[in-house]
Amino acid sequence: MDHFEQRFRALLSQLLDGELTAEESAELAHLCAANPERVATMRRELELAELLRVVSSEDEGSQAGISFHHRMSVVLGDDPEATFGDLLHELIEGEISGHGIDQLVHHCWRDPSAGRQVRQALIDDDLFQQALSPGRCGEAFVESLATRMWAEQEEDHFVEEVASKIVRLHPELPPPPVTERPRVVRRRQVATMGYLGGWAAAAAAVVGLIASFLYEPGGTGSMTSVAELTKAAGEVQWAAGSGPLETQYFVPGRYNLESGVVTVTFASGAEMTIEGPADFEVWNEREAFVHTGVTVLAKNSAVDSFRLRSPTLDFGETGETIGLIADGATSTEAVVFDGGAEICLTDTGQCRNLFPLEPVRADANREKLFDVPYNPTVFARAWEVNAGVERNSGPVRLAMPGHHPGTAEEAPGEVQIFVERSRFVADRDIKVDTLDPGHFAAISPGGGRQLAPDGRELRSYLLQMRPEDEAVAGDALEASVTFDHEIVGIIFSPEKLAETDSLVGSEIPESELVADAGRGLDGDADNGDQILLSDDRRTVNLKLRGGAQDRVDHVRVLVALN
Amino acid sequence: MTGPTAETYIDSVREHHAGLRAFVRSLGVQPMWVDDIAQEAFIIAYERLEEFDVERDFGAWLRGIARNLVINERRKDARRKRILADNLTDILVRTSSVPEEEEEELGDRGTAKLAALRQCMSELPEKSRALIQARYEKEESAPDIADRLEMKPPAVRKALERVREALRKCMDEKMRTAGVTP
Repeated sequence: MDHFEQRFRALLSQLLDGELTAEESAELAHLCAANPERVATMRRELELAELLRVVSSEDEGSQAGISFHHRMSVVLGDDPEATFGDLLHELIEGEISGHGIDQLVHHCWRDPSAGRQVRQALIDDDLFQQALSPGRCGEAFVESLATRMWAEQEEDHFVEEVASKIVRLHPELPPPPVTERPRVVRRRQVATMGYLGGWAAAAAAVVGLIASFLYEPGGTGSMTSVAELTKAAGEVQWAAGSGPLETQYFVPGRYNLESGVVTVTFASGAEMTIEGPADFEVWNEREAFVHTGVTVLAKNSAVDSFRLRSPTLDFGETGETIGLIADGATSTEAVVFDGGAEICLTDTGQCRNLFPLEPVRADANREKLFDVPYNPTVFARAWEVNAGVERNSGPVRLAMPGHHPGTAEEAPGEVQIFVERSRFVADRDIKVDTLDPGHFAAISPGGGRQLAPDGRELRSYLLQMRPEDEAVAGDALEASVTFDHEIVGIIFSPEKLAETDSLVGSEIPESELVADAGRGLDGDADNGDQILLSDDRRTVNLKLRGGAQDRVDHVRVLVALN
Repeated sequence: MTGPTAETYIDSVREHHAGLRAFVRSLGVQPMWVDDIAQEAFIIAYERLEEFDVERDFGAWLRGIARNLVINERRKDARRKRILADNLTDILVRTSSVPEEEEEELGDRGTAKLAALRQCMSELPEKSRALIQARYEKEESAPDIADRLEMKPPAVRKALERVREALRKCMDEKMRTAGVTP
């Protein structure tokens, strides 16, 4: 019996005892909405409870005995009034109990034509729905199928074919958008569907709207999603029947990710990045349970609270960013990357406050947490997806939490990327360098522009390069880095880097910097360091030349998260 | 005889989706999962188009795939099942025709039936149409409708059944008139 069933049983018991609070009542309704079998169970239990109540309130005597027998027969399966017709109506109306289904099946066994009648009634009812329910009209079905086939077979032409049909059926749609295929191939953007061209993109947008209507959190669809798949990397495979709806929407339930890395963004704003193989449950917009898998949870400052649990651990209140490695019922390792957190053992309820980068392990049937060595590399893939960075080419490495610019021990000739501030809203102008997309540019002192605060949430990264030694300084270091959000500002001149350190960046010890002159990009357009921003403003290409005086190069990148 | 190709698959989807969805529902699948399973059947069929024998009926082949998908639901643990109940699906699957026999199925000609049904709905008396729209278009339950119309839920259920029966008869009549066996 899983957690949901246990909770359902507990709440049902409280309901029967008249001890259910309003909040618990809502929770019970939510659990029932997720599983019709629970509704049937609850109905049976309530019927029995009501029956017992009536019987117990009646005077003693034969009349009470008759009433009891009659009512019990309704519950226990010998109801003379439950005709085939009544049961069929209840089935069609979605009001049939588990016991009612048993009775219906008995009818069908006794009379073979009854089964055919049931099927005919169900067929007619389904045709009524298709004819009248907007969510079940033919176009919605075909468009939804198109999206699903696109998601499962990316290189298929099905979407284009459907798109062309939609054009013919809906001439009122606007002309095809002119969209260029991104120059640099990057991880699939699940939410933006950026790879579809022309009308296929329009069709997908239509489908997306339909899907968002059907599964909108709190919407009118038959199922309510509490989270959405917003990023995916690698070969994402879900176990049969245990992936998100429409490959994107998470309703409360259990999910089994066989491979790949996905980011699940909850309606509360929390982002859970999990690497397959993983087995996890989505409970609601503020709670999740990881049975197995490597997980990075970014709560973000805007989220009031988020509770993450495993079989042996309970993060009653998570920090800004935490990591968790769950190994089934055996043990869980956890670490706080950013902020503080309270962590409790599931078995004993014993709690402890964790400080950043203080990893612990909780074993089943043990009474205390164990300190373990910090091993960030196990989180590398999940951290990369969480950080929104993808290496394209060149010697690029994403710094793990705990490493800071200036103190990290990167190899010479390597570009290291630090997430400086994961989410912030600027409250004043930020001075950035001028860089037009599509052309290599070199540093030009005195230039630049002001990035005005506009309420958007930003994230800042610092790219740190330590060129090769003097002997190989003549060879340029070339690298390309893609971000999963639009780049709104780049800072590569020494003075602007220094000016923005305290505002959006990192505290870099002076001792680590030779001089401001050696920190940013160097030289002129022909012989110095060069930087290029892609047309879609998501990729930065770097060509850096070394030199004896050039101990470290920095480029700060600002992306807009919304 | 030619079967659907990758290029003409969309036409096959349009031709068969209504009947296939109704067929899936008729095997005891929970209403909210009917389209999900029907889509899975279309996707599997698309992936195996090369295996399709063009001498056969494409609709029957689709039904065979869907039937197997529904039977597979029996093997899942209770929380993941998309059917109402194992025993109900058992008996309903037994009463459906075996795809290999390609017997006339209840869900056949779904698209034609759907067109006839829409016409019949437009011909309903206003009160009956409002009732059926409340039930299927607005997805109101019988108690909700009863509450709004100041009726008793059993009365609403009876009224709905009467309208449904009238629509069934009308649909069959229109199919016969069009020369199609209902």
